[in-house]
Amino acid sequence: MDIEIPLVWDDRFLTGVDKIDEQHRVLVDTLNEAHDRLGDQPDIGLLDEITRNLLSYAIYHFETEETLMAEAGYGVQCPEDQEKHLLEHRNFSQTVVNLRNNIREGHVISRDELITFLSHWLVHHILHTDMHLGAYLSQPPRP
Amino acid sequence: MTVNQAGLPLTPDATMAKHPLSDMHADILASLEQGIVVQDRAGAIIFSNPAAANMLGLSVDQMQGRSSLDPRWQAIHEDGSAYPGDTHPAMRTLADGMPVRGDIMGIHKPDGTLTWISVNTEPLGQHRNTLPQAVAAIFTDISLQRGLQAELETSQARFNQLAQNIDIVFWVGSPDWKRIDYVSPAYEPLWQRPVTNLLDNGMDWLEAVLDEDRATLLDHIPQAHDWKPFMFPPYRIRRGDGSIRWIQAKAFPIVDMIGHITSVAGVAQDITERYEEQLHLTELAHLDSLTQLPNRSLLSDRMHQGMAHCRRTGSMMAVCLLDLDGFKAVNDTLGHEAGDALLIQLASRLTQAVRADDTVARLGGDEFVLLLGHIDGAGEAEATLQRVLTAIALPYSIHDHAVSISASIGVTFYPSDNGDSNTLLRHADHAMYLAKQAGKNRIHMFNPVLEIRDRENRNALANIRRAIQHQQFELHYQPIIDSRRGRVAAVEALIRWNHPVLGILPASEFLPLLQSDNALTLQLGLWVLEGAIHQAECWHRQGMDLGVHINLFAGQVQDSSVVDIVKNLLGRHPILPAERITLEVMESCALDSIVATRRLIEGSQATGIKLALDDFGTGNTSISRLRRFPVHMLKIDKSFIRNMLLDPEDMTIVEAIISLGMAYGHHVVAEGVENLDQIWMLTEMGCHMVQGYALAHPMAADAIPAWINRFTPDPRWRMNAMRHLDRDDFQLLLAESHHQQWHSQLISWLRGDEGTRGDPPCLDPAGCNFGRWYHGDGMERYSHLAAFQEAGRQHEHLHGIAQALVQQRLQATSSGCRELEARLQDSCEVFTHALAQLRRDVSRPIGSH
Repeated sequence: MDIEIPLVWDDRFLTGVDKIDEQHRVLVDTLNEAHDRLGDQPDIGLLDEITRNLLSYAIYHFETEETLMAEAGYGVQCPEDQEKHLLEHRNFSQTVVNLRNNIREGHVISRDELITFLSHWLVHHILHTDMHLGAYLSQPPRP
Repeated sequence: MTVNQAGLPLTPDATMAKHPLSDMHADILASLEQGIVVQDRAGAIIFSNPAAANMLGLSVDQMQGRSSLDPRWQAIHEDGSAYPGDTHPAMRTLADGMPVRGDIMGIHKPDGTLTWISVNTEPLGQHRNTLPQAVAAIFTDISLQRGLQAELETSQARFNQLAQNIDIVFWVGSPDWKRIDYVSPAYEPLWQRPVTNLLDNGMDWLEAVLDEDRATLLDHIPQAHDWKPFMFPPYRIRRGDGSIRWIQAKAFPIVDMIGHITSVAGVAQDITERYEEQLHLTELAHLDSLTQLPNRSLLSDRMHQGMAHCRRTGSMMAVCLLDLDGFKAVNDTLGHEAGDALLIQLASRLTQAVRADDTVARLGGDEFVLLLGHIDGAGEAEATLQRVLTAIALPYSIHDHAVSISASIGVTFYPSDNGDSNTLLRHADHAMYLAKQAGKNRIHMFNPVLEIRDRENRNALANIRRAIQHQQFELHYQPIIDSRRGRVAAVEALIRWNHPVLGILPASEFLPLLQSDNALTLQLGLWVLEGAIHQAECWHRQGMDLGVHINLFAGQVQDSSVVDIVKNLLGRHPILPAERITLEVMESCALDSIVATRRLIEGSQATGIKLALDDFGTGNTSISRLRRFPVHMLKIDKSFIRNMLLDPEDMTIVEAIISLGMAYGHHVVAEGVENLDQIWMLTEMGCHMVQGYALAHPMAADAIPAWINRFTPDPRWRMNAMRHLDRDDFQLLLAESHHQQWHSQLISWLRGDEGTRGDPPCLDPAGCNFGRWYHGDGMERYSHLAAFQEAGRQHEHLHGIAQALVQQRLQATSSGCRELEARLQDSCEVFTHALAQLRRDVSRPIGSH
């Protein structure tokens, strides 16, 4: 699907799990923030703030999702989906750590690269992997 | 004479004798509530039952034989006139043979009371063309009914008089509002609508209610299924003559004996004068005395109304907080009176710039609030607010001075920002602050997602705080090797989070979060210090001579008490020599807080602990500054080590740091060593302390002793360490690094896509970086060495293969490619060996000068 930035939050992002959706809004907002506030010239302070927020997001949001997975027996019912899902989470955190290392070493990520990374995450993870999880969690409880 | 069961003697009579009453008949007659009297042809009573006697106030005996004509009867007509005996119903029937029905007569009883009876008569013993032999009169006592009737009439008269004379409307209708059964006469003059309309349609009264009040009424009036006494909110009606009146009304259900609501009733009255007076007073209490704009308390009402309206209609409301830029300067230069005059003018501009039903309120000082209702989106509000900014910016004439001023506006939108009125104002205030920060004279929209983000970020920090309590943090230790001595010199304590859901998180994933919470930073930093110092003492007790490096967080470096904290911890571990502990401070952090770092250096020197500058090389410390930082150790940042073999610039930086360390007496550690070639190169360059995955990953404290026991140093390190690389010979290393870079560029070109790969690296053996060195400096210094000549030959050979490969790739022929690549690889190894031989030949053992 096409991503038009700034991105307006709408129903197509809804997984059906309120807590997850609320936190996804933060990511969409971060994407818009990168678009609105980063210019062509690198702004190390702002990039530091954005990537710190992404690390924080990776902790609270992945905890939310992975706790829900565990509670709903996702790993038992859909072991391959869960494995893929967790791997994507770990890769996200690792990528953000790498971004920060690169910035520290003087290889500053450009605005477009950051937006591409986040849009890619949005399309491949939120609109795909998380939708699977959302559908699973929204099923009536199993006997 | 027979006597019946009721004890009534029956007079023998010619007619009656033929029809004697049976006992049963007599019983029935005696038990009737109605009075029954039988009179003979002459009008004399020959039979009466007890009920008849009772009604007439006599005994049965007294009745017996008494004629209608008896003057003792005191009978009257309904209208009170005398009712003569010869016209009594029984007499009329005896005279004309016709029955009488429902004749009403009043009888004065002997005790003076009046009984009203309704009389029917029936002729008895009548044959064709003859008059009746006798007559039966049947009485019903209607005294009670007549009394009720009279009372009702009186009451009705009273009610009518009341209803005619009071101006409160009262009414009775059906619970579903469809029908009005009664409405008092006050309705017509108050509403100025025909009462017949209302009686036809129970909701006709609502037609007069003003549009803006009608919706609220309809929302509130009770429905048929849920009726409770109800007070209407005051509402306005527009009357036939155009005048508008305030109405106060209430309604209540009327419940029958079994609890069913059979009908409802209510009252309504004109409260215009009283209400307007009250409104005026309220308004006065709610207006800002300087600008006459609504004050904070009225604003609060308006906000609640606006929010209710949004919820009802699904529309949006913008809550805008406006603060003047530089108003204090106006007060300070022109005086408070001028300031007040400006606020008054401003108030009227604001009011004119928005729609009539929007609200402009003054919070106090130079702070105003605008409520823009019924908007479709942020764009519409922004357009309005741009107009507001333009209006504000026009010059003001204050006491003959032209004054200009601007304003900053913060906006939030209900209901997308779904807080209560205080929260909305707080959010608008926050946005206004951001507008000021962004340069004033502008609009800033509040973003509710930021609230969520802040909350979640705080939660994440709270989780870290909890994780300390729940012992989810762990210290792992990574060995630092002294390659010259071939031993483990120290270990660096590294924190990680064993997260209950996410698993093991490295410090790089959570430490950056602490930047916004200094207290938590100090708390976690203390936890690290305690754990690592305790562990250092344990190893010391086990007889191990092992230094422990502990990282200080930026917040700890700035904390003036950190030296005392470490001293205190060492005091609690008295057997541990202080010099075992090295505190690592990031170079960038040391540069950010020079004073604090100086304090830390002095404090640690006094205590005996050591200091290291971590991630050295990224912070651009000047040489002069480094002299003011007499630290024990520099740790070269791993980014330089990672690329030093491929990137001559990084190699140069590594060499420079090593030289700097030697010159100023700092120990130098290379961090992030990932392969043995790097260690080899570093030892040749004179850096003997190395740390990285090539040697060991961080591990749990109890794995350290076993690891140290197993550790066997590479014997070549020692050999290398025995040699000293001449300053000039560094150029040789650099040339080698240049070659590595050329090689990796060639490989990536060969593997790259045709469209994006660009040019291959220089293929001319004399033109590449190595070639230029070889034919320049290299030739000058080393041409006498056989190894140098050999290296030159191998280099040319290598370039020959490279040229062939590039040629093939450009012609897109794949045949033989694989074989050529294998030859390139071999040739590269031979060349590298030749260079290593050259290095060995040119370097001299230490002390051979």
